[in-house]
Amino acid sequence: MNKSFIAYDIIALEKKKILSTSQSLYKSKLISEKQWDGIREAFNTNLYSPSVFMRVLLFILSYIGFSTAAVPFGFIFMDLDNIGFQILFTIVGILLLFLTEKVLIQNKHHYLSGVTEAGLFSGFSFIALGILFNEPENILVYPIVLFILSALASIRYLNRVTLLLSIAFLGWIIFQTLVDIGGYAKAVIPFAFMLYFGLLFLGTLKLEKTFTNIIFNDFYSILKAVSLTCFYVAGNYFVVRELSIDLMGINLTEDEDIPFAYLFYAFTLLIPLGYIYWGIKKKRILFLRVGLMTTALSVMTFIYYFSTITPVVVVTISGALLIISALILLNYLKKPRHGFTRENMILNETHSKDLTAFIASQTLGGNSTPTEDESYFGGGGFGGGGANSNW
Amino acid sequence: MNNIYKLLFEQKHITEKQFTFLESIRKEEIISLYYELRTVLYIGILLFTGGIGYLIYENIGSLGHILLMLLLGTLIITGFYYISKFAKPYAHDLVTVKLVYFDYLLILVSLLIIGLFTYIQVYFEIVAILASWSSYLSASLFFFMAYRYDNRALLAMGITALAAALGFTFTPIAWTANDGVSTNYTHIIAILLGVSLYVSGYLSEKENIKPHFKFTYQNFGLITFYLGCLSGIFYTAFDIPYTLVALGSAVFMSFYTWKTKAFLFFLYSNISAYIAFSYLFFELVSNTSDGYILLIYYFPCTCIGYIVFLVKKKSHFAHE
Repeated sequence: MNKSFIAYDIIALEKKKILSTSQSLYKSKLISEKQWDGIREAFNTNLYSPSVFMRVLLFILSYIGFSTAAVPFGFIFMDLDNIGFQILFTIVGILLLFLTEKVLIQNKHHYLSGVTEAGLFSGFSFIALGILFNEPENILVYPIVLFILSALASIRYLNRVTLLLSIAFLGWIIFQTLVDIGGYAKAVIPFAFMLYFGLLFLGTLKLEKTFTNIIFNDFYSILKAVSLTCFYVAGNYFVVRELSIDLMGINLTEDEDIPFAYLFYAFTLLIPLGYIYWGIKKKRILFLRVGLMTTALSVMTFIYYFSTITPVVVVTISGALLIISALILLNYLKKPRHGFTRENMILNETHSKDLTAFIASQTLGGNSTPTEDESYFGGGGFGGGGANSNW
Repeated sequence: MNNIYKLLFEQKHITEKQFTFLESIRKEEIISLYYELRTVLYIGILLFTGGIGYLIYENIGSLGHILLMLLLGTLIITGFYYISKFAKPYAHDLVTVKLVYFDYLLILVSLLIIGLFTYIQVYFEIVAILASWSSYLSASLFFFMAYRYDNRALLAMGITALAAALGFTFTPIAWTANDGVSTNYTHIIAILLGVSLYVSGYLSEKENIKPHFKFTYQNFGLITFYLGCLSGIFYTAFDIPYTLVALGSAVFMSFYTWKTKAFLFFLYSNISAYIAFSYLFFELVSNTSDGYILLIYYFPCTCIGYIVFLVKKKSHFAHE
């Protein structure tokens, strides 16, 4: 990756990363106030990168602003034909990107400010609209165009959302190609996806060794987590079975099974266990996290097909099991063992008791009245884990 | 540049001891399972209390019910044994407890007590008598546990239970789908509850009784107040009075929170003021004939103007 291809000032981003890391260290009381002051002075930057709330607010406002600002223009060019609209949209898109880059990124030093993201998204959306406005006959054109644009956006503007989008669009290309070929190619789709995400994971490891810079670390984490999770999902029995029925039009009765069924049972069972084993053995927190999550999915899959007890009983029992195992582990890890500890070493940036309280009140059913049915299912929506702030 | 700690060490910002420790974390020689274990515990409580709550309804009158009641009772007593073993006496200030999962234990026990209480209600067929009171009882239990054992999560749950008891579901996360604040009467209740919660937060700090509860009180207070006002605008016939109340208080709170540098509350107030102002503006414009021209420019101009203001004044909330 040629560094000049990135729109931002790399040095400033490095300083910003050092500052935010050191701030966590200071908040976790790992460095003294004097040290923190020294670091703050040494790595001072003029980047404008506000807090999460501000970012979200700025993003929403700018997005409304940018998209409604186009309405008056629309009135002027109302009589254009298709080609005219294509050219107009593309020009507006390029103009938006140009302004975002020159004014916001280079002059005003915005980085993840919400305004830049809104500019980028609306700019790229206009370009995509411009290219695809004539509705090309071959469906494959859509994912290819969208993939190229989102990949460009993720590399040049270091954007995480477009990174995820480009992974998805590449997947769409693979899927569409195999469906277009038809026949045997359709049957190997799950394997093709496992191969795709497996290669993505290995490719990330390779990239991580080639381009070692702290500012890319978050991207590598996202890529690795996504590819490990999707590798599992592509081989999960439930996913393969249901998608075979929905997307390929395979008719299955209760007794019939999908081709290679036993292979997919094996994947569903073994991949999560493999992740957890690898995570404990090699001490990789990423494998442990993905392993725990996929284990939960596997349990649900097997219960869905084989269980004779009611879902509520399963929920209650698994809840009890989770509580017990967490308590056992918390007691076991009172002292660090085998390199694992229960103590918090570096505080998460979003660590806050007030936030935890708010989430608890929204999920643990304090807001429901006991006289209603299903009273304890409370607010439902689980907003906890999402730690990757995208804009 | 690929190693922050090494750079900091080389430039003498951190000591060698600190560097060695941080390197061991970076190389994953020691791994913290802090967030993982807590997440597992939290999901466990969520599933278990949820499942128990539902099982109670399913099993009423069947063989399992006595057993279930006994089980709940045993769990509650065991939980209280551990709570009393580790709890410290009540104090006005922040109380920290040695037991790492103390907070979770409190939440679990509180939810189980409410589960058992629900069970008793249904079993002895006194639901109808207690229907309107059971929410107040849940809320009181949450508040008692929150103050006695110093827990903000329980306080937040108590506040939402209180709101439920007063007749509206309090889910700002899904407030667009929220038809809880429906009758004219509940708008006023929401506004009054919002004001009293905000004042409770203010008093907590002023009287120095659990001053760290202030944020939770005021956060819920402001959200309840503004949602009450705004839903009053859109769902009642008294739209203009509600708009004026919302606009007036939101503008006042914007100035106040700007001065006290409470950024999140400043944003809440700004957004409410903006919605109320836009509503008034649209009402005025819709009475004129050529007003729609203004509407085309209203959103781009106000949005971009507000962005410029926020970005220009960025240093004001620099500590956020």
